[in-house]
Amino acid sequence: MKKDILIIFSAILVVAALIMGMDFQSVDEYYLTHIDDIKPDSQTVFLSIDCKTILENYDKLDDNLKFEKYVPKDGIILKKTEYVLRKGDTVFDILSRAVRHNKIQMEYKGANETAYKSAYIEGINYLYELSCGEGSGWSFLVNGKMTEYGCSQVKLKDGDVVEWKYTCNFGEDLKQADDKEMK
Amino acid sequence: MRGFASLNPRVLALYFLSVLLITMFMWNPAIQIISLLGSLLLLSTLTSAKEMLSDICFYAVLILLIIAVNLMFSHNGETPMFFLNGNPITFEALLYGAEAGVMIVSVIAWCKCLSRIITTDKFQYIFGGVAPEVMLILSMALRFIPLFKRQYKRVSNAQKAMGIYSQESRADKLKGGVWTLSALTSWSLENSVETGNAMKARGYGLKPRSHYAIFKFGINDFIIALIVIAFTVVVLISSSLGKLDFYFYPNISGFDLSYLSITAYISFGVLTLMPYFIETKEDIKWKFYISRI
Repeated sequence: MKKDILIIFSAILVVAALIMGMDFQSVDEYYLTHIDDIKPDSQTVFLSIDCKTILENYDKLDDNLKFEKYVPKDGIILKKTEYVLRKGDTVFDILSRAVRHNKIQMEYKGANETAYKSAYIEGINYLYELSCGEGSGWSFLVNGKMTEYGCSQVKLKDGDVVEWKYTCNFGEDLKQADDKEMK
Repeated sequence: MRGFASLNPRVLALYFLSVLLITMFMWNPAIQIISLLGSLLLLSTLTSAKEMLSDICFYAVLILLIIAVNLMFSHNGETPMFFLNGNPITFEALLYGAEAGVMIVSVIAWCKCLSRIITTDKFQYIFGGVAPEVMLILSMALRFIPLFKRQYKRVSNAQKAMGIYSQESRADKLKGGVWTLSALTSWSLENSVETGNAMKARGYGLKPRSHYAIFKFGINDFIIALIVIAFTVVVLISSSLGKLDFYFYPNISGFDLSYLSITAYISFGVLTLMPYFIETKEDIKWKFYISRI
């Protein structure tokens, strides 16, 4: 009997430790985020989210996502908006604050869950990786350029422009769009 | 052997194949629930009430476990219930987990029925002509499970009689179980060597070898086979036209209620409930005959 009690006790301890390590939030708490007001001396960055490439590959999109509330007609989920840059903010921090403020759905894998030591954005506004063909997923450009780092590794500075774009072809379609704009 | 189990093994194999494949690949809650109902009803005619109860408890726990796992890993869905570590725990993921759980449980229950109804001699009959060696190995491997169980009981009884691991404590029982398992492993190795020797001694592998079967293909078998094929085709047509499509993410799509999809649900219902009806009909007949004696 002594052994039994010991085992039950240690099982309860393990479960308690697991629950203590979790962070529970109600829906209202989650969306209640503080966005700093823009003052003349505050540093700011611009953020936009769009899925324009889906409009060109609409036939590849999963049937359950072919609604306007998931893919807007113009492809813009969040238009270019100015956000205050807090000290040490990464691309991920800005995105996470912006989607909470605008109540846009977003799912990510934390930096300690991925092999690249960076957070990974799985889906925004119910559009997930692989939702529109094999090479589809979310990607981001800083000042119109792709980076070789993950979104929680890129630190931002004053005046940076961050664009989150949905790609349908491993990012190739985003580069082409860049070239056209350059010309 | 009576009722459903007395049909020709090939028809039975066709039946289980079509029901299992439809259950596994039609991702539609109505299909899964019908399938679960059919499998549990058939299982209830094959097992005792006590065994059935413990099975249902196991299935319920399994479904809850699958729901929990799905909630931890899938965060898609429009209606979040609360947020865990910054990711939403959604109602859609809960239902999706329940659906997956029901699917897995009904497949397990169907397989249990299958192993009770299609016994190893029937397996030999079905595949004996095509791949006799493979079938022999398979049936021997499957036979090992009950053999293993029986031997486990014997070893643990012997240990208890000697006074080791005989305390009431669960920790002690667990330790005893591990030791019994290790004893069992060496026993099974020895047993397989012995089996091989025995087979050799009896002339296994000599050239002129034949097999016989006592199963006939009667008019009943023909009718049941036709019914199975017809209903399966209805379900397949309906699903290939996209009438059975059902989405959980991002929000739950409703059921398609056209004539074709309703016909598909009904025919799948008849298909899954058929063995239960055949069994109960036989049961009623039997009771009727007894009452006249």
